[in-house]
Amino acid sequence: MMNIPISNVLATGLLEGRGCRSVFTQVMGLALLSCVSTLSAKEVDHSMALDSDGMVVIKVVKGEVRVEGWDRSEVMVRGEMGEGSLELSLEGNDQRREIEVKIPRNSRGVEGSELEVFVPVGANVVVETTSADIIAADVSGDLVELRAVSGDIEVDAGGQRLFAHTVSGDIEIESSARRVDINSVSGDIEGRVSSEEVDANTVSGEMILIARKLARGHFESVSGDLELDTGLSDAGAITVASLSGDVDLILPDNLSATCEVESFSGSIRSARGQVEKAQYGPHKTLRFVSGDGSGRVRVESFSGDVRIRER
Amino acid sequence: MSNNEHQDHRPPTLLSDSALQDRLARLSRERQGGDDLWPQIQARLEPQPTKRALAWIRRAAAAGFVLAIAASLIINLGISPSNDTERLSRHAGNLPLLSASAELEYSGALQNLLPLTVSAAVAQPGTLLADYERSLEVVRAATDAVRVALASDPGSRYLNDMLADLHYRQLNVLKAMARHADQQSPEPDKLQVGLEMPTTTAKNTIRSTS
Repeated sequence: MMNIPISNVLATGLLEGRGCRSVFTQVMGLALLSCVSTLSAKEVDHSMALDSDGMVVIKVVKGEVRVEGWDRSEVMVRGEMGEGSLELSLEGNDQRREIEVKIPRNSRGVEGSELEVFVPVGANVVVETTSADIIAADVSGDLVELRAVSGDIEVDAGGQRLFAHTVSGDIEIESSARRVDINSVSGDIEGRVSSEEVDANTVSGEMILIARKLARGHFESVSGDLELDTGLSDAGAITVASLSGDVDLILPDNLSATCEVESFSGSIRSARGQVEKAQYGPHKTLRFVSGDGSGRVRVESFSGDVRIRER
Repeated sequence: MSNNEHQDHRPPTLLSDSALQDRLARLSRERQGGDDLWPQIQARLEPQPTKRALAWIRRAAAAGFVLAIAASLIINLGISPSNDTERLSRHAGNLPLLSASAELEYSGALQNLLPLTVSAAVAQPGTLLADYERSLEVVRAATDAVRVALASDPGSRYLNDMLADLHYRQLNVLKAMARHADQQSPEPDKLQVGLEMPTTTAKNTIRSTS
C-alpha cells in the first residue's frame, strides 16, 4: 500500500497547473484506495497474557491455523488476515482468550487467513475452522479440541483429551494424550498414538493407525478400510467394526486376550485360531485365546474382509 | 419553503394605470413552446422500480436461492423430515425397541435442525456447499448400506450402533453447515440456541440407547 501524504498530492496537482477537479479526483482515489486496503490482506501481530492452564479458542473459516505450545504464559497471534476479512477479534481475559477472524456474512470471495498462534504448552486449546487447515504442535492441555469441515488436521499433542474431527478433511495425528477421539466422514485418518483410550471413527475414509498401549480402543468404519497396528495394556479391550471396509488388524505376539472375529459375508484370515463357517449362509466366526486371555479383542464386519496378523 | 412560494403569497401591489400598461407592453406577445415535454412526462407516469421494490426483488431472488438449496438438500439427498420419518418408522418396526426409539429421536432432531440448515446454506461459498453435499451423500449412502445389512442381520448390535452413529454424523454435518453461517450471523447467540438443542439431544439419546 502506497503511503503518500495528501498535502503532497495537492501541492503536486497545483504546481503542475491541474485544476481543482483533477486534484479532487486524486484525493478521492487515494481515499478509496485506503478503504480498499482495510479489506485486503492485513498483517497481524498481537500478544496477550494467559494463565499457563488457561483456555484459547480460535475460530478461522478459511486458510490455515498453526498452533504451537511454548513455555510463556501468554498468547501471541501473528500472520495475515485474508483479503475481504473484516477484523481479527481478540476477546477474553487471563483465563480465557478468544481469537476469531471475522468475515462478512456473505463469505464468497473472502481469501484465507494464515495465522500462527503460540499458546502456553499446558493451555486448553479449541480450534474451529471450516475449510482452513489446522496444524497443532506441542500442546498438552487437559483439552485439545480441533474441528474442521473440509480443512485437514495435523496434530502432535499430549495432555488429557484430544479431539480431532473433520468432515472431508484428512487427519494426521501423533499423540500421547490419555484419551483420543478421532472422527471423519470421508477424510482419511493416519497416525500413531500412545494413548490409553482411543475412539477412531470414519465413514468412507481410510484409517491407518498405530496404537500399542490401549486400555480401550474402538475403531469403526462403514466403507473405508482399516489398518490397525495395536497393542493392549493389561485387561484392555479393542473393538473393531466395519460394514464393507476391509480390516487388517495387527496384534502383538505376546498378546493376552480372548479374540472373537465375526463376519456376515466377508472372509476371515488369521494366523491363529480356526475360522468356522455357518452351516447355512455365508456367516463366519473365529475365536481364540492368547496368553492368559485377560484382554478382549472383538472384530465385526458385515461384508468387509478381515485379516488378523501377529507382529 | 421556496422564495417563489413566498412571492405567491405576497399581497398584490397597487400600481397606477400607466405603470400597469407600461408593464403590460413589456410582456412578450407570444410565448414559444419549449421542447416536446411529453417523453419526460410519460417517463414519469410509467412506474419505476422504487428502492422498496428493488429490495423485494432482492429478497425474492434470495428466497429463490434458498428454495433451490432446500430442493437440493431435500430432493437429491433425501433428507426430507417427512420422508425420513416415514422411512424410519417403517424401519423402526424391524429394530430392537431401543434402536427404534433412537431412529425416531433422530428424526425429531432432523426436523428441528433442517430449517436452520437450509437457511444457513445460502451463506456457504459454492465449493464448500458442494463439499457438504458430498459428505451428506457419503453418510446417506452409508446409512442406506447399513439398513440393507440390517435387513439381512437385524439382530446385529454393532450394525444398530453404526446406524445410530451415522445419524449422529449426519446431524453433525448439518450442524457444521449451520455453524458456518452462525459465525457470520448478526445474531449468533440466537441461532446457536436453536442449533445446539436438537443435536445435543440427539447425541445423548441416540448413543445412550444404541
